[in-house]
Amino acid sequence: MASLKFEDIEKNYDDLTVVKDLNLEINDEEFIVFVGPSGCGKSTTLRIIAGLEEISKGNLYIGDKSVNQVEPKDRNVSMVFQNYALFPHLNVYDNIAFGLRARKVPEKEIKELVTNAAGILGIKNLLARKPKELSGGQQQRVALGRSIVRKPEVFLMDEPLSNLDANLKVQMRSEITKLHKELKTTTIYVTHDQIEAMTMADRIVIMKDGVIQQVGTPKEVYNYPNNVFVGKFIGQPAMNFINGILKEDAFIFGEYMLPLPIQQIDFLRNYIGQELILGIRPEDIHYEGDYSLQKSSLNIKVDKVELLGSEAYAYMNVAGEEIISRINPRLDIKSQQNLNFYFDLEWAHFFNPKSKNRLRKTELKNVVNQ
Amino acid sequence: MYFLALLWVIPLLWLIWTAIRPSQLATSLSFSVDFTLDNFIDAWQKAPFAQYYLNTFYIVFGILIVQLITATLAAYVFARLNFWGKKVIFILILVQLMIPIDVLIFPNYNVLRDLSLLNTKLGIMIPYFATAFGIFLLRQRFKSVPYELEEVAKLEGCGILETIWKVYVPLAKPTYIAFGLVSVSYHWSSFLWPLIVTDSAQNRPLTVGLSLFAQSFETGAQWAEVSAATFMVIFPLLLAFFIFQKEFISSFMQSGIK
Repeated sequence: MASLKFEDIEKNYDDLTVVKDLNLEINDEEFIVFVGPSGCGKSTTLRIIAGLEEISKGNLYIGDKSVNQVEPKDRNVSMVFQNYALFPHLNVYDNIAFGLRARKVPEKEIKELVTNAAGILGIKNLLARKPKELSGGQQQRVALGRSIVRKPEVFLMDEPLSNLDANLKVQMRSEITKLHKELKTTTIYVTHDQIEAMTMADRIVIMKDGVIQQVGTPKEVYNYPNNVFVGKFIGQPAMNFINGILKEDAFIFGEYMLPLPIQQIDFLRNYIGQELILGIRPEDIHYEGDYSLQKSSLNIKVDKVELLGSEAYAYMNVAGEEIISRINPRLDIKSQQNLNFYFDLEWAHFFNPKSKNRLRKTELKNVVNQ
Repeated sequence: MYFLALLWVIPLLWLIWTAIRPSQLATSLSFSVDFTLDNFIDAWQKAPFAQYYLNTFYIVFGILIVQLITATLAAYVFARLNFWGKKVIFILILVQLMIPIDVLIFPNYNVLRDLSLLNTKLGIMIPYFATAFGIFLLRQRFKSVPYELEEVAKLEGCGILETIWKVYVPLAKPTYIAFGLVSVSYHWSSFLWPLIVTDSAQNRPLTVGLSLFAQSFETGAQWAEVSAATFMVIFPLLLAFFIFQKEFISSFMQSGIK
């Protein structure tokens, strides 16, 4: 039973509150990713679980046990650090065996466990080497080996892939996911990379300034962001946000008037005459030939075009803000052209410009109060 | 360059030369092929050098072992822990480095007398058990150990002492070697303090024994035998330097590369 429960967790350093009002339940065998910008409190939260930071207020439960006062070594968790934290004076075998030796496991059993873990991670041939003789990816595997060999209840990972190059990152991502499927251990993973979060997580926890912004599956978080921050943080390129005013049947921004579909007019009836923020993802703004016949299409000048190979993005300026549209990479679109862009509002959202929260049709269960 | 090295080595060469020449030829400049070990045997028999050797070994290595323990523990505390008054205490320890050792001879003597430790090897050793130099060196070294290594040790089941022993000590090996060499060579050659504390051959180290031996000849200095005795006193240190010169150099290079 390796579920976790955070109850009103708060962490303070003198006057600075780094984590606030943290309430969260993590289920057994889940792969949870904490994501957010630097300084949002995600690493601190991870270290609180490990016991490397003390809890200022609140309760933490691992399984059914309250672990506030429990020493790190007795919490049955293991941690992979961003810099691997391998002991430079020990070889790979001794590094992996370190925790087992500290717990006085007999050497014969240690040999079996270490060889097994090394086999899973494909590093059996490196057991005699010292860390400085290994590449970054190999060192990362040794760090993973050390964390799994003890068979703890929870794996903690603190930005383990940050120091690897792009290709290695992709490879290690799938290896960690594979490892998780094989070992079925509850894993809590911290990163600032939203791609890692989207591709690896069962559920994502987005944090900003010490407060949870949203908890949900990658799909939920992508399609129904709780607020502007989440909308901007998840997804690449980021969601477009346009400030404007809601009129009876259109959203007005700058010199543009965007007609709205009927169902949304019902939902937004209370907001007519108010300033709102429209959030719409680049893939929902289309240019595919001549859309001038469509109702929700606007004629906008393209500032520049970025070609990534399999995708292309058109950058435009509306009402003083830059917006991005994903376009067919095979089309020949030049900058400074005026084109008709169709705004598909099925997955777009409106946000309150003061609270930055999303306007909702129904109340969704979540930890953030509007 | 080589000329300077030659200049430095000349007294040592003269010492060895005089020690292995028969005593009549001690100060003569003849280059006859007349070598003897008699001087060594004579000196060994005239004064209890065996006892002196034992005393010196006991004192030097006794001090070193206790220093290693106290310096390691203190260095860890100042490198990693926080407590009220930490800065003040650390400054006090650094102050010890600045006080000339001779100033402390009289107060230390009085303390030994009150503890009834005069004329004992323990008396010679006690003032040196805590070493500010060692604490300083090790603290610097411990501070450069990535803190995450300690956190891993904590997570993996080590208490504080186990963490120090398994993580910090192995990573400070060059520092320990450097400090060990400094401590051993200092205390092996230390003269004034042991001279004041001891007055019997039972507890006298080699330095004091040698000076008494050199002054004991009524008919004037017996250069051959004194040279032999001197050589016996410095020989272990010379040997240590030859054996450890690689460690010496590599330890200083390692601590420089960061």
